[in-house]
Amino acid sequence: MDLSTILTKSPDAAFRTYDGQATIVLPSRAQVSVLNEVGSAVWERIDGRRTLQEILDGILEEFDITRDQALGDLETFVADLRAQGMVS
Amino acid sequence: MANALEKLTTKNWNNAVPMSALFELTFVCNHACSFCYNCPTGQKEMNTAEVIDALHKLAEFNVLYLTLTGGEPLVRRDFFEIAAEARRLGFALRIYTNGYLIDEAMAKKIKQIANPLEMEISIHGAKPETHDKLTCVPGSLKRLLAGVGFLRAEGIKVNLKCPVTKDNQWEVLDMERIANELGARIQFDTVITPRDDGDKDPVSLMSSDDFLEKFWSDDAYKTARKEPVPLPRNDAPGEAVCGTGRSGLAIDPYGNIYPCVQLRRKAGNIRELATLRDMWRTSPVLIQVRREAVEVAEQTLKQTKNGDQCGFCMGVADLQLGDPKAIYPQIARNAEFRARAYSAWKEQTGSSAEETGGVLTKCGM
Repeated sequence: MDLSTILTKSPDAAFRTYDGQATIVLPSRAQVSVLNEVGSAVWERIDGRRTLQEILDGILEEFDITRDQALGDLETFVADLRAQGMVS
Repeated sequence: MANALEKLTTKNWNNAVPMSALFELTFVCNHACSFCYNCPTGQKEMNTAEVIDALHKLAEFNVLYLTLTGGEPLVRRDFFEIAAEARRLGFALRIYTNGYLIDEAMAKKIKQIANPLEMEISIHGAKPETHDKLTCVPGSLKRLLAGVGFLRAEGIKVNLKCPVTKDNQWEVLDMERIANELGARIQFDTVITPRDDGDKDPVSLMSSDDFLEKFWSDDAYKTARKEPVPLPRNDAPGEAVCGTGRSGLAIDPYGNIYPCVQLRRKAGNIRELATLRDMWRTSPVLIQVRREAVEVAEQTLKQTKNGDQCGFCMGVADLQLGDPKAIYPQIARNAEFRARAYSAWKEQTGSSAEETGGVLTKCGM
C-alpha cells in the first residue's frame, strides 16, 4: 500500500456518525455500511488532504494497537472502501 | 444474530436518536387527489433561503435519511437548488412525487443533481380511467409510467406507493405486474387515512371486505402484500408502537415540526430554532408522544381484539378520534382480515410466527 496516497470520499456517499460509528449509504448499493470504531476513525480522516500515512499516524495515536496491526487493518479497510466505491 | 446496522438502528430507536426526516417542501400540487391528506393553510411557505437554512439544521442534528415531498416537490422552481444543497450536506435522499413532471431530461437532472437513494411515486390504478379519476388529471397515469421508465433508465430505484381504495382495489395485481415490468417496487396500503384537518371523507374510500379478505389470505396476493403470511406484532415491554417523535420527524412547508408526517402536533418551528437538539430533548409534545407510543403498544393493542395485527398509526387515531391511543375503525377491520389469514395459515401448517422469526414491520423502523 502506498502510504502517500490521498483518498477522497465519493461525492455520492451519504453518511453520518452515530455513537462513534460511521454509517454510510451509497445510492447505487442496496446496503448500508456501519463501520466499527477504528473504521469510523479512518473514514472521518479521509478528507482529500491527508495521506494514508497521516491517517495511520492518527489511528496509532487514538487507539492502543500495534503499527503492524493498524497497517494491516488500514490496508484491508481501504481496499474494501475502494471496492464498494466509497472512496477514490 | 443482528448485524451492525440492525444493532445501530435498534440502539438509536431505543434512545430516540432520529435518523430520518420528512420535509414537505410545498403544499402546491399539480394533482387534485380526492383523498389527499394535505391541508394548506394559506400561510407563506418557506423560501429557498429558509429551506436551505432548515437543511443545515437537520444536517447539524445528524439526520441521515431525508425525504423531500409535498404537495408535489418538483413544482418548486428551486427544487434542484434545494436537492443539490441536501446532497452537499450528506443526506441520503428520497424524493416522493406523483411523477407527472418527470420526462427524460428531468430524470437525468434528478440522477445528476439529487442522486436519490430512491424515488417514491404514488400510483392509484392500473388503468388511466381509475388513476386519472382519482388524481383528477387526464393523462396522469401515462405520464407517471413514462416517468418511471426514464428514472429506471438512469438506474434510479423506484418505489411505487398505492393507497388501496374501493376504486382501485381490483387493479392491485395489474399494478403489481406493471411495476414488475418497469423494474420498480410497489407497496400497497390498505388503510386509508383522514385529511390533516380531521376531515374523514377519504376514509369512506377504503376497500371492501371481500377485497381485504382476498388481499390478506389469497396466494395470488402474496407478493403484493409483501408478507407471505400477515405476521403479528411482537412488541417487547417498554417498546414504542412506532417511530413517531423517536426515529424521525416531519417538517411542513411553513417550517412547523411534527413528530411524524401523520401526527400533526406541532413541536416547534424550524425557522425559530437555532438548533433542533434542545427542542428534541425538551419538547413537551415529543415527550408526550413517545410516552403514548409505548402506552399504545403496552395497553391499547394488548387490550384490543386482533391488536397484534394492527399496524397502528397514532396520527390517524388522533385525527379521526381525537385520541392518539384509540382504535380507529379502518385499522380494526384490516386487522380482522390479517388475523383470520394468520389463523388459517397456522391451522394449515401447524406453524406460528415465533417459528418464522418474523414480525409486523413497525412504521418508522
